[in-house]
Amino acid sequence: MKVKVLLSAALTVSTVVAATGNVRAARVTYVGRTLLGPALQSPSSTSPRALVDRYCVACHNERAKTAGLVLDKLDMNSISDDAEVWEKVARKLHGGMMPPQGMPRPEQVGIDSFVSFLESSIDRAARPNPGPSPLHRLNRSEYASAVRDLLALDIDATSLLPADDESNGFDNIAGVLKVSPSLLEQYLNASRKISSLAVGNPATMPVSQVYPVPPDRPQNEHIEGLPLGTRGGILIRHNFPLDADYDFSVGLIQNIVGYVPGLEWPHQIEITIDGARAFLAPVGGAEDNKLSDTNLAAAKEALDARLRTRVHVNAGRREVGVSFIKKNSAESVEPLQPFTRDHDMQNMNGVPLIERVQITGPFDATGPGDTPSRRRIFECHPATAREEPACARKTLTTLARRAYRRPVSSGEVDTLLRFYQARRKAGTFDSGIENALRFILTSPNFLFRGEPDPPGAAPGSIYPVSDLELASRLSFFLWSSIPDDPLLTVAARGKLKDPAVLERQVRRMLADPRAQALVTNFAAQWLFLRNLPSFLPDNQTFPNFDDNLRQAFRRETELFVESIMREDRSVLDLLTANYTFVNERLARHYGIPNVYGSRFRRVTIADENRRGLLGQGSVLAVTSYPNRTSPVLRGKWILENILGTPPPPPPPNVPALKESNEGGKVLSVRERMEEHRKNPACATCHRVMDPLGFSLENFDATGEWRTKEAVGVPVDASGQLADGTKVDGPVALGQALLKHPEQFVRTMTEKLLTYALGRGLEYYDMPVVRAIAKDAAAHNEKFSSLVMGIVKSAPFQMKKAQGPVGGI
Amino acid sequence: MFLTQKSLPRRTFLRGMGATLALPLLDAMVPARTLLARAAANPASRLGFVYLPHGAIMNQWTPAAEGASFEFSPILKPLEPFRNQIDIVSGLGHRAADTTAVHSLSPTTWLSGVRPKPTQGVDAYAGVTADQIAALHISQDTLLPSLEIATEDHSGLIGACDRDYGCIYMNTLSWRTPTTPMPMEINPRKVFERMFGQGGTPADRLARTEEDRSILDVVTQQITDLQRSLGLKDRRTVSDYLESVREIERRIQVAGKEQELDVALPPAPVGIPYSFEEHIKLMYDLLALAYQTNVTRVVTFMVAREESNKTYPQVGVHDGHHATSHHQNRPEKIEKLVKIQQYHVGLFADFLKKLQSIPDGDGTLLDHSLLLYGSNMSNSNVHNHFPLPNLVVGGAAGQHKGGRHLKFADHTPMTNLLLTMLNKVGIPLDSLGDSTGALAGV
Repeated sequence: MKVKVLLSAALTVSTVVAATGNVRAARVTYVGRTLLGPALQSPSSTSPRALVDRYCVACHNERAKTAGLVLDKLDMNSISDDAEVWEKVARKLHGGMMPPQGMPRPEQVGIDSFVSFLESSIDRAARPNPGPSPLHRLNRSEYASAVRDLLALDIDATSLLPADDESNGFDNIAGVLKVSPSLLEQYLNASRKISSLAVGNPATMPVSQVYPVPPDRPQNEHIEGLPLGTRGGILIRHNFPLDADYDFSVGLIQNIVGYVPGLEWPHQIEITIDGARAFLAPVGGAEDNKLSDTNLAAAKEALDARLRTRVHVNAGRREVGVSFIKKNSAESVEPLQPFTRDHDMQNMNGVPLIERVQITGPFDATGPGDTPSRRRIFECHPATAREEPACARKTLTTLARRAYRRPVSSGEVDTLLRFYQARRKAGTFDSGIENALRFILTSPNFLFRGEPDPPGAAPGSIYPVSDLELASRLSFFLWSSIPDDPLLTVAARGKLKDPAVLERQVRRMLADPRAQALVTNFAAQWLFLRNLPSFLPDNQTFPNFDDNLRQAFRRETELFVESIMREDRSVLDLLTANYTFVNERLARHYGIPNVYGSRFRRVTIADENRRGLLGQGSVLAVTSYPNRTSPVLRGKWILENILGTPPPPPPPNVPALKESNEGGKVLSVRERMEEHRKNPACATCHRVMDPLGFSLENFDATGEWRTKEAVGVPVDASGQLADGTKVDGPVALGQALLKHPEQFVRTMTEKLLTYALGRGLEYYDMPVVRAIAKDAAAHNEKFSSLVMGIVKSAPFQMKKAQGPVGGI
Repeated sequence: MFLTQKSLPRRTFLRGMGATLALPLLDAMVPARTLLARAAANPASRLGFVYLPHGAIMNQWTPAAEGASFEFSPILKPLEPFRNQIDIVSGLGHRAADTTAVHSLSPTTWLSGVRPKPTQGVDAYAGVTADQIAALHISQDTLLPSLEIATEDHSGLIGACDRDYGCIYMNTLSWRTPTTPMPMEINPRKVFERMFGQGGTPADRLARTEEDRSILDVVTQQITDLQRSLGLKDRRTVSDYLESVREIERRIQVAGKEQELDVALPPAPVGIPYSFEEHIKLMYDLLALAYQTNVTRVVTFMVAREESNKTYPQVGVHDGHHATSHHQNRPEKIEKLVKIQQYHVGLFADFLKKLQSIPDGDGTLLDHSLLLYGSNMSNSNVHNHFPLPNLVVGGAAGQHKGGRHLKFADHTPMTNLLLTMLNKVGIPLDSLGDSTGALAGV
């Protein structure tokens, strides 16, 4: 390591990258850069004090106090005493935002070594500080995952619970997961529905569930997950509560006058349950067409009656597919209009389309069935009344242990047994268990993660969390869910803190399918993928955009991030990988040839512009407006999520950008953005932000490559980044971002640590972040090295005592 | 499509329930809990607060003339039929939201006039809002003290919140206590279930109520145990929880006293409609139904969220709302924004029409309501909070006249209007936030 440091210290970052454009080479210098000792810090005559005096204190002094920052009186020999201030300074310098435009600026090398000096001074003096870890309510996705793992039951939590507030970019931040009467009310209702469904309550009342097909989903192609050889329709994952009969009815789209399009030709609608055909009915043809021509209402009525069936289905979660049998391409369904975003409600032409599917039941139930949920819940099935109490105790003890994530006392089980007995008296054994389960799902022991101080801990003292608490921290970090039995068992034995055991558990958990939560909860928020559903591009500007493409955007990035995680690749591959995942729809959007069908597959990217996250439709779309790109939003996204140097909010009373020049010529977006630079209040940030965004201008608001803007003007993607680097498109941008790979690794570490701890990071967390990133660099920035670094870090392993409850 | 069109007479409906389980049951038919009887002879006022994000184009909102002889401005034109019950209130401002974090603070400060603590959310602390004060005074004998609804949640808004004032302030209009924001529900289905329960026979419902009660008893015990083992900082969460438990227990008591009410209950909505317009209309319908069935007397409705980038193709606006609202004084953008605002006012007018069509005691629901419609921003291009677009409508059971454009001194605190509204529904409050006194003449 030492040799490496000395060796790399002799190199400069810019020469290496300029010469090779090679990530590996840049990585070597990165190790050197952050490990530079203080002796190597000031090769020039500029001491830190002199640099601050010369470039900073003109504004940041005791009298001016610009931005509330005072640097002239701080002791440069004890940087760590003012770590909070210096961390802010370091971040501004990383972002290239200081000194502001128009003020004297040191050489970039000088800034870099000053930042290293600040950070290494702070890091050397850093003491473990785990920060606060308040009572943590399960958020909506954690609740759903916990139910899934506790009861082998997949539920749609969005239909049961409200969205959680977000803070620091994530919705699992303990401090903002508040409780309100309406939330508690919803917990009560959710627990009733879930326990009844999981146990299979024989008195379950018939209800209808309507599944609408998204109106901007084209139905002329195959939908992934539906049987091959079908077109359009919808794949529904439905929980069937009992072995019973269920009604299925399919509604077709009618245009504005009630006309069902496409009846002039025969079509067939198929319903499948777990892939097996359960129903097939004809739609259209001479008879239907004739009726439709004479009486629209009668035709619709006839179709509705025909597209309804009652089927016996066994209890459990089943995949219900409803679609049209695809005709051969000779009688292709709608060749001239490949993607339509909205149904043209005036339209009389085209093919029949499914509007919605309704499932109603259960009717004539024959029993609760043998569902995964029942197998998971019931530890035994008592044959006689005498066996019941013991079986109830056993079943409920196991359930509560998993739900409360710790061994439970016999008193706690007695409480559950009282709920069991209350319902058992007038009902069955099963209904008693259902009632106790309902209580478990409402109990604060399930809904909250609490980590009480050990007895006698002095307020403010720091101590390691217990093995069981660590198990929950791990499982909620990696799985967004409760620990499984193996993890809980290791923790209950007090073995989890053994480093080898811990590492084994972490690797096991990362390999588990449940680690998908790191994609759907962590990455989807970090990268803003969750904003995709509300990306509604204007259909006049982007007539080709539709829900299939939106879903493909999300899927591509999810699969991509997952590949980094599952294959334990370098996280830098997120920016540089030469592969991605596409289906036919997305491949056509990207101009990738020879990809057919709705299935996603890994492809090697030939076009370098498409490499990494910044070439993916998801990221490009969520940083755009409905009808145009926004270089500012894209620049801001990169600063926040890739470089970790978020710009401050715009200053108040920003004057409107000029529309035209003095000669009356209307200015282009770029020309208007140039105005940002003329106003010093704007320039400091926009000088940094705008060029990043402009370099992606070849991607339109839906991520499609373009060489001309909407008005026919050639796209100009050129610009100069804050450090002077000239860029002219996505490739150059990627290279520029990788000049300092450590900045990306740190940013990702910050995001991941925030998510892992469920709290916003503070200045005192930064030494931890840097140490994790540094260690990751020594392990080729492997995904698991970030995760292991976090798991082993002080804030993850330790807790600060809050102090006993006394008077407030 | 909307609620009233498929109403089933409630009694018919309940009768059907016991006998005909074999019928394919529409979700819609799953019945509600029976409703509280209302003393028709003594109509109580309802309060409502309807919030539009991104301000208004003020010269197209504010009528030119003051007093009784004003003419409706372009944006407010759809409200003309309700002239006699409307006061357009001009000259008010709100200082509390006056920061760079305008999108975050506009919702949270609109009904409180108190600038909250700057935070990402962990130690959020905000002013208790007027609707919640009203809920405490005039809606404690109803099933829900208040109802908070919206059309868009914040799940598509990652990265859009302000760093100094977090999302928690942007996501709600309503704070029950300084540390308890009320989540705004966007799913009409869930709103319906909260109002009318999940069906079953009266005996089923009674049994469920009993179970809820016994669960809450033990939950209370467990929380108290938990409280003992937790540190100081967690006590707030725990006490919020206990507060919530008490509130639910109150609801159970109210529900236990339920009586039949002859109101035709519509089918339960199936979920969030794809069409934004349908969604908004459905939410308005649910508000009317909540008033009508006396489920609550206090409602807040955020018709669109701050920074919403919904487009409005139905009125020819293909740009996002928020992007358009930064209009840079460009006439074509201003024109689009006016269309959006007029469109929303039109939907509000439909809601008023509905309230007017529902008899209530000696008049209509509109006669017995007092509604505020407006925004907590003025000019969206500069993000300021003066002059605010505001109007008050409804008879407030004889306490509110209408028919005027009232212009108050510049920068009169918006909280004065809120205070006036609270006074009109019989809440004897002297001050609210930065208020300086009730407004004479409203």
